[in-house]
Amino acid sequence: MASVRNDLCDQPLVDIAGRIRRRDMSSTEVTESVLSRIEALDNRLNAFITVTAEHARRQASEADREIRNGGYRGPLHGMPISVKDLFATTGIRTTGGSRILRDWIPDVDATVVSRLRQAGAILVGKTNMYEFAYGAVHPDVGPAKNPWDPTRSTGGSSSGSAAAVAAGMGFASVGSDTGGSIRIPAAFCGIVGLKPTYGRVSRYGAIPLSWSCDHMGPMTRTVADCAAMLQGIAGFDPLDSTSSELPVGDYLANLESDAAGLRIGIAESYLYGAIVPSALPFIKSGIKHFEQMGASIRMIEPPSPSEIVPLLLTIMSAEAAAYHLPSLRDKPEEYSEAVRERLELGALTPATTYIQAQRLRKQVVEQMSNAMSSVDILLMPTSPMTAPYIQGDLSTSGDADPDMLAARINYTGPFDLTGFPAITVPCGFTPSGLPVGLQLVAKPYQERLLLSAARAYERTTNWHQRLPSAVIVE
Amino acid sequence: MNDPNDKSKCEENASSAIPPDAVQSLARMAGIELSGERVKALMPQIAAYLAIIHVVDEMNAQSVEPALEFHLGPKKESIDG
Repeated sequence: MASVRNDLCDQPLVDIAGRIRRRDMSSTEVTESVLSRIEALDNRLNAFITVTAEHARRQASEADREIRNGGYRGPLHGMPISVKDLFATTGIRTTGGSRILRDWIPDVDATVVSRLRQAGAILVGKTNMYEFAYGAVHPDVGPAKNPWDPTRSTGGSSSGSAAAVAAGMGFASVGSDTGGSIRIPAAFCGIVGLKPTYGRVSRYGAIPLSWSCDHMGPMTRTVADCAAMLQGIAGFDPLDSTSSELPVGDYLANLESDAAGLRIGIAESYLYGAIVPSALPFIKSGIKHFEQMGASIRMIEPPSPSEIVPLLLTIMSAEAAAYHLPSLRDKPEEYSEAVRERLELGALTPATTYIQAQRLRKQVVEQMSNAMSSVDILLMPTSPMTAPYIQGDLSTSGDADPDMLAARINYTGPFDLTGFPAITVPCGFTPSGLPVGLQLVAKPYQERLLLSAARAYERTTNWHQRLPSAVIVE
Repeated sequence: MNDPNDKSKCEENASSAIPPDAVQSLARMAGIELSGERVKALMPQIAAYLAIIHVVDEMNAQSVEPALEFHLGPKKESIDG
């Protein structure tokens, strides 16, 4: 159903931030609206594991006081947002979507969280997620529901973040992405999701799935909101040994550049793999759209998903098993069946195979860089499928089938292995009303270019203005 | 390299290459106890997983240096600053 966003909760973050800055509106007013939206919708969508209403009210009141006294900090100041429940939050329960950590109250903030606090953002809650971000929902927690059709999955693992943002339960969220866990749920829920370059956003204080493949990034309703969020969380962190010292760009500057002259690469192996027929026309239409905006389109030959995904699965499985080994030995029954199976499989990975995969990873990065040397952006679908029904889905069925997991991350996984930045933007809706995501990939640390290309597409389309059915029936 | 289209052959090779009691021994090496019944239930997933990772073992990585690097302290400064 086509509908234009008009409620305060459904407006872009940067628009409401402007009103807070001008003091047309208070953070308390905005926060109360969002908390009311959560109260109205979350019993149906299960997007939150913990709602921090009183904490948010205190933060909002403090933000209002600061802003009144001339202490406006920037576009996140006073804005209600959420974070995936794998980011450690001082004094606030952090479960990782699991039974194992159901009562963990950290005494430290993840760097992402402390940066959001420094930017003045208001934390309204910790969002639902697949158990330890590993492909399946723990039955204690239950699945988040897709706001476009609550019988459908949100995808994952940042499932609650995508549902919350799509349904106006916060202006943005931060997720994590190891095989596609920001971009897939963002695509299934019709929002924007950015996986930054590896090293651009600190991993410190986020429960790891796979140290060398984990990326943290924003999930928002618009590209400008995504830029504002990335600005707030990006940058060197001495607490993360893989954090980059490269200076952070101004992501909101030049966001309105047009796409004329942009060199867009497309690749056979990333276009026609296994994508569902109902989604492919929207991807083709996206290519045409960039061409009409003055971009040039050329075929390139990056290493294919079938070469890359086995490397990613090897590394991810072995690293996840290594991290979880103590709990896997002592209390395996506390994991969901599918996650336990995946961890047990990972523990069987030979060390030599893991090392081979890391060696080959270097080779793949070089091949990807060479393939992209003649283009600015690589364009492809975000997912081979649209949101599946929750019942019987891989995330709820208890099935740990590695082949099915590999198929799900066909288009997203390659950029977790290579660390290249990638963004998904909504590019259409199937006849059954399900969102389709268009993925753009750039070279390392070119988030500014990536955001401006995504914004050029968004500016000339209206997919991002549609309102999910869960919100319309509110 | 395995033909990715011949999944059943890959799985067959993988499962025949690793008998259930070897799986139990491998798991024990990692400190995990898997009952015979559990190993039996896991065998299809193990076969599928091993088929995937065997692809890695068969890729050519001859000219690649180890990707895991070990560093002591800052890379940009000399020892005496």
